[in-house]
Amino acid sequence: MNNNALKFFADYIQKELGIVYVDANYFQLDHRLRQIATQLEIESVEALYEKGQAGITGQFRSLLLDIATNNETSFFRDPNIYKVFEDVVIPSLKKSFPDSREFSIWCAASSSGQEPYSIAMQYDSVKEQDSTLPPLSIFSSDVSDAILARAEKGVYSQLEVQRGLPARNLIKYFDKRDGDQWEVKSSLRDKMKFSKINLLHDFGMIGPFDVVFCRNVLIYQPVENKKKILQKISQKIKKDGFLILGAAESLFGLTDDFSNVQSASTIVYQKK
Amino acid sequence: MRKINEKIISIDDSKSVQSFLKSCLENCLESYTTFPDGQKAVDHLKDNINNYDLIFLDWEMPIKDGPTTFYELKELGLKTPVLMLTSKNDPKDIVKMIEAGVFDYLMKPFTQDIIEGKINLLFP
Repeated sequence: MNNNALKFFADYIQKELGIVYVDANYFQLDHRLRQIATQLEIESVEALYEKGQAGITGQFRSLLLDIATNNETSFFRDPNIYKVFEDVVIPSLKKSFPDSREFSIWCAASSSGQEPYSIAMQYDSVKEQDSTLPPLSIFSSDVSDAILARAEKGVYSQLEVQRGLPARNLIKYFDKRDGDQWEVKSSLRDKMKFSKINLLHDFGMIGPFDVVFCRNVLIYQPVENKKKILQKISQKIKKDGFLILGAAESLFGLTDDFSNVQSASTIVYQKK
Repeated sequence: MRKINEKIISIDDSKSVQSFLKSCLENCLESYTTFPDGQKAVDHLKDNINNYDLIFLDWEMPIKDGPTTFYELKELGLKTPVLMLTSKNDPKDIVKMIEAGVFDYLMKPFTQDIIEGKINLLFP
């Protein structure tokens, strides 16, 4: 694979999205370009390069820009978490807070918004079966202004909405916009508030919350930072409320503020 | 992708889609059978109606389109999950096929991780 072609596509992605593809990732870029060529019935990446120089539009453009998105960011990521949220967390909140006028949730690292919108969809589907549940409010925060603005906008490409989101939910909770974009309906967006928060700094006047989702954040932090963040988050969770971490994360050795609640293969943490 | 042992059918008149889908599923299936139109698929499946684990189904094809194929297969007693895989992305089209009983609905273009995500949901 010639480097001119890879550089051409990397430059295009950078120009369109501001995402820089470093040389070290060219192998991965090459692999994805080969897949695009196959799907577009183009015999090679070299031929794709020639086509690209004449203009990048339609499916070609969608697939190319999608290369730069993080495939780890999908709707209903780790489906077991959402099952525990439905089977354990919501019934427990209902029991602990029978007079609650609303359940409040904080997504502490909401990234581009797939997590808070997935929570809102899941809660909505449970509420359809149990109308005695109170309304939901979701507070979403992230350290990046740019990604938070994306989450708040709630507009996703056609490829993004196919990651983790069943078509039933797509047609129920999204409106199709021009250019094969899909926008979250206001019925979900109205439950959301967005604000920039760096988990290492002061959280300000927020909460307390019934549930905090803080998934796949602690894993990147040294132990001392984990302890600090958890201590501050703990103060923002009501007694008997829940903390939900990523599948590979645990509270072991970090805090004694929570009890483990295990369901199937997943553990969530209930504030003592 | 993790190893699964499933028998998968793809009904699509596009050879590039057939080929890309096969590469997405590589090393994860027992067999991959393709048909270029709905009629050939119905002809084959009427004697093997529930012998497969998953069917990918295009919408626009010569001779017999996807929805007609789906209705005929249901008449024959099909219980195998069907995943629509089509360029048609009008919400009305999606509603029509979801209400008709397809397992899920994917829109082209697609990527390998999207296919893997659906397979993982279907065969946990």
